[in-house]
Amino acid sequence: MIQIVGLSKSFATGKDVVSAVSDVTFEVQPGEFYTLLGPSGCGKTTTLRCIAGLETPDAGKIAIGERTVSGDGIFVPAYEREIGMVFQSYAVWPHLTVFDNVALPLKHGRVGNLRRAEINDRVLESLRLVKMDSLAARYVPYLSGGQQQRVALARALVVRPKVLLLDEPLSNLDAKLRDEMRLEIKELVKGLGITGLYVTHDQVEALSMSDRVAVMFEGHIVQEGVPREVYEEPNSLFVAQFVGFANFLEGEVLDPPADGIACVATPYGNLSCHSNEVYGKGDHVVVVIRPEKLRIGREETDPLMNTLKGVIRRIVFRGASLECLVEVGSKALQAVFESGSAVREGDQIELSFAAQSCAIFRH
Amino acid sequence: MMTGRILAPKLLRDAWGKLHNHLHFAFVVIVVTWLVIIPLLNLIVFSFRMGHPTSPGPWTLAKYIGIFSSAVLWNALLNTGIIAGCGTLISIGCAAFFAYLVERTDLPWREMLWTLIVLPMAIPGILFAMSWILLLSPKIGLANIVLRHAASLFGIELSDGPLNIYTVGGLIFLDGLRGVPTAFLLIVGSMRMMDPALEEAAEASGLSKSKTFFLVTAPLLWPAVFGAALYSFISSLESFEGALAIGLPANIFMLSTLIYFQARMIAPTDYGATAAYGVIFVLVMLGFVWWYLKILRRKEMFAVITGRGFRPRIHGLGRWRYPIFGIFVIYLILTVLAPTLVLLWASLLPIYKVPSLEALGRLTVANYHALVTGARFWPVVWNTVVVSIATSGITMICALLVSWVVVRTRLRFRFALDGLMYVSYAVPTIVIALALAMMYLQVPFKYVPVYGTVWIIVVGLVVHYLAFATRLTNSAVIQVHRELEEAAHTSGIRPGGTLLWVTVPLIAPAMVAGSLWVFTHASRAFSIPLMLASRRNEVLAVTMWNYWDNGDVGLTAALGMILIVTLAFITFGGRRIIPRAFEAGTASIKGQRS
Repeated sequence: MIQIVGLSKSFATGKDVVSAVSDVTFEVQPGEFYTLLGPSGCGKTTTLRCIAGLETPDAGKIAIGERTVSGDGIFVPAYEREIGMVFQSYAVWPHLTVFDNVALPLKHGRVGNLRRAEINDRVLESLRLVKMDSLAARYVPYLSGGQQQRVALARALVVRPKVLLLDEPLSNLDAKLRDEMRLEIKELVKGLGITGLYVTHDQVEALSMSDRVAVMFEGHIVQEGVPREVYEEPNSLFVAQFVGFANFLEGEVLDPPADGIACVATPYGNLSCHSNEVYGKGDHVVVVIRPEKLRIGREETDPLMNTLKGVIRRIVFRGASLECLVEVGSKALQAVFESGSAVREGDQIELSFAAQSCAIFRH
Repeated sequence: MMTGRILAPKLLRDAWGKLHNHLHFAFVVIVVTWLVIIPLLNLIVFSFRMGHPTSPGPWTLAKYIGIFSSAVLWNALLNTGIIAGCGTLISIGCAAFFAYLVERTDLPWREMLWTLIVLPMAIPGILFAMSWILLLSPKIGLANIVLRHAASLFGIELSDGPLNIYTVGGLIFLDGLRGVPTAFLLIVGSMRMMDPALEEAAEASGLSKSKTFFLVTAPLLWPAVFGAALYSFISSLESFEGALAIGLPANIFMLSTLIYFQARMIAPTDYGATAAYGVIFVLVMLGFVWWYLKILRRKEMFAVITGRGFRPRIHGLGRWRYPIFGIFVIYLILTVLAPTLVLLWASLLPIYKVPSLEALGRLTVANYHALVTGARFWPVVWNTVVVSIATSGITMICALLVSWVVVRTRLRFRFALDGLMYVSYAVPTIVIALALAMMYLQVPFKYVPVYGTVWIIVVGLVVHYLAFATRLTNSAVIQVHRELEEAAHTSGIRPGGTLLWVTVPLIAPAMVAGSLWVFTHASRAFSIPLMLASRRNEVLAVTMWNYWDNGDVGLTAALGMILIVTLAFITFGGRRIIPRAFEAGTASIKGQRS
C-alpha cells in the first residue's frame, strides 16, 4: 500500500547540511499496521512527512496504492494524496467546534461537492467511531488532550483515507490515557481495514501496536521485523539498547563460535553465548542479556545454561514484577522476577540463564 | 485516480516542486516589486538623468556634483542632525524617566498614567505643530502673551517674545515632545521584564542602592534604551510636519522639507536634483536602520531581560509619591491640554484673536457651519475615508501574504523579502511620495491612471505602512503552530483554502488590530498626500494645511477639532474591542501547545 524506495532528505541549517533520512526503503502491506521506531532525530518523522507530502524528498520514490506520489519527476502535494494524518500536537483548529473541525475537510477539501446532509452523516459517523459525538458542539480548546486527539483522529478518518499516518499521537498524553488510546487506535485502524503508518520513540507503543516495526537510527532503518523478532533477536547493539531494557557485559571471546555457541570471558565469569556471526579468539564483544531471562536457582542439567552467584542489593516493587539489582563479584546485573518470588535484599542467590538468551555484538 | 503532474526539465521541476504549494508567492513577488523595488530603482536611475520624467534626457552626474558643491544640502543635513539628535535626547530622557516611575515605583494610578503618556499620539503631527505656533509665535503666541504679562509685573516690558517657536530650538522642543509616547512604549516593556534577582544579587553582594542602580540596573536597561533612542532618532530624521509649518517660514530646512521645497515649491521642478536629494536621504536613513537592526539582534542575545513574567522590584517614593505627579500634569498640559484648548479657541472665532473677555463674547460655531456646508468638505471627507479604508485593507492583505512566505516557506529568497520590508521602512515618506510621483509620470507606468487620484496616495501609504504591518503579521503567523496548517493540507484542503479557513480566522485579532492601526494613521497621514496632492485627491489633513497656508486659522482649527474628535472615538471604540479579541485569539492558539 505504501512503497518507499531509496528515500533521502537533508536540511540546511545555517551553513551545514544535515542529512535527516538517507536511502530508506520499505514497504507497508495493505491493512498492515507498520511502525517507525527510533530516538528523536533519527529521521522517522521526516520519513512520515515525506510520505504525507509535507516535505519534498531530495531523492527516492514514494508510492501510495498504485500511484507514485513522489519521485520520477512527480510531486503530488499533500492535499491531493489519499491520506489522513494525526499530528503530535493534535493540530485541531481552535477557532472551530468539534463538528466543524471534522467537517472542514469535507467542505473545503479534495472530496468536494457533498450535500449538507451527507457531510452531516459522515462527520457524525466519524465522531461516533472515536466516541466524541456527544461533544460535537463544543469548541476544541475546551477539550482535554485525549479528547482533542480523538477529534484529530476523527478528522483524519472522515475523508476515508487509504492510509492513516500517525506522528507520535500519544506522546502528549499522560501515561494512563496513553495505555487506553494505544489499544483503541489499533482496534479502530484494524476494524476499518486501513493501512496504518505509525511513528514513535516509545518502544512499548511500537511493540504492542504494530504488525511490523522498523527501528531507525541516524537516517537509516537498522532492523525491520515483527515486534517479537526485534525484541528477541536484535541485530545490533543499538537495537538491543533502544528496544527494551538489557544488561550489557563487556568481554573477550575465549572460544570462537561453534554450532552457534561461543564462550566469552567477562568480569562476571565465563559465559556461553549464542552467536551466528564469526568471531576470532580475543575479540572484544558486548554480551546482551534481558533482565527477565534471568532465573533464580541452578539448572545444572543443561550444559548450555550459564550460572552466576550473587547477592541481591536492591529490590524495586513494580506491582506485577520485582526489579532486582544483583551484585555479581564487583559488578551488578538487573534482573526481573515474578512478584511472588521469595527474595529479600541481602539474599545470596544463584542466577541462571540460557546461552540462547544472551547475544553478543562487536564492541 | 489522479496522476501527479509531470514536468520535463529538472531545474524547472525542482523549482516547481518547491513553489507550487505557494502559488500566492508569485503574487507577492509582483506586488513587492511593483510597490517598492520599481519606484526606488526608478528614483535612483533618474537622479543620474536630465529632463522631465515624461521625456527623460541624457545621462549626467551633474545633479550630484551640484548638490554636493552647494551649501544647501550640508545645511539641511546639519539642521536635521541637530534637531533629530537633541529632540531624541529629550524624548528618551522623559520616556525612560516615565517608564521607570510607572513600572518600578509605587506611584499610584499606574493604569491611568499609561494612557496619559501615550495620549498625545492621538493628535496629528501637523495639528500639533500648528497649535504650538498659536502658543509660541513671537507676537501673537498665547504662551508668550502670558509670559509678557508675567514679566510686566516685574517691570520688564517686552514687545514680542520672549520665546520663539520659529527657531531650531523650537523645532527641537516639538520633536522632543512628539517622540515621548513611542519611546515610552519601546522602553517600558524591558523595565517590566527585568529579573528582580539580578538586582537582589547585587544588593546581597553588598552594593548600596545607588550603586546597584548605576552598576546593574542602568547597564542592563541600556540596550533597550539605546535601541529606543535610535528608533526615535530615525523617526525624527524623516519627520516633516513641524519642519514644514515652522521650519520653512523660518528658513530652516530639514532634509524632508528640502525635498518638498524642490518638488512642489520651485517651478519648474528639477526632477533629477530632487531625485538625487531623495537618494541621499534614503542612504542616510538606511545607514541608521541598519545600525538599529544590528542593535536589535544584539539585544536578543542580551538574555538577562527575559520574557518570564515577574513582578519587578518596586522602588518606594516615600513623600515624593504625590508631588511627582506634578511632572505628569506638566506633560499633559504641554502635549494635550494646551494644544487642543488653543485649537478649540481658534476654531470658535471668526478671526483669530488672543483670549480676552471681549473676544469671549464673539465665540461662534460659524467656522464649523461654514466647513460642513461648504462645497469642499464632503468630497474631502469621502477621499479621506476611501484612502483610509483602502490603505488599511490592502496593507493588511499584502502584509499577510508576505508573512506567509517569510514565515512558512523555506524559500531562500524569503530573507530577501523580509530585508526588503526593512528597506521600505528606511525610505522616508516624502521620498516614497516623490518616487511614486516620478514613476507614474513615466512611460510605461503613466498608462496606469493613478497620477493625481486618491489611488496614488493609497499606493504611497501602503508602501509606508507595509513594514510595520508585516512585523505584526509575522509574529501573528509565527504564533499559529505550523501543524495547524499542515493538518489542513493532509485533510485535502488546498493552500488558498487553508489560508482562508484556517490561518486567517486564527490570526483575525491581529488582522483587526493592524487594520485599525493603519486606518487611524492613514486617515491623518500628511506628508504623502500633500506631496501627491492634486485638486481631485485632497484629504482632510491636506485641506487643513491649505486653509492654514491661506491664513484661515479658524477653519483650520475647526477641521482639526473634527479630525481629533473622530479619531478619538474610533481609537476609544477600538480599544474596547481589540484587547478582548486578542485575549480570545491568543489563548486559543496557545491552548494548542503542550
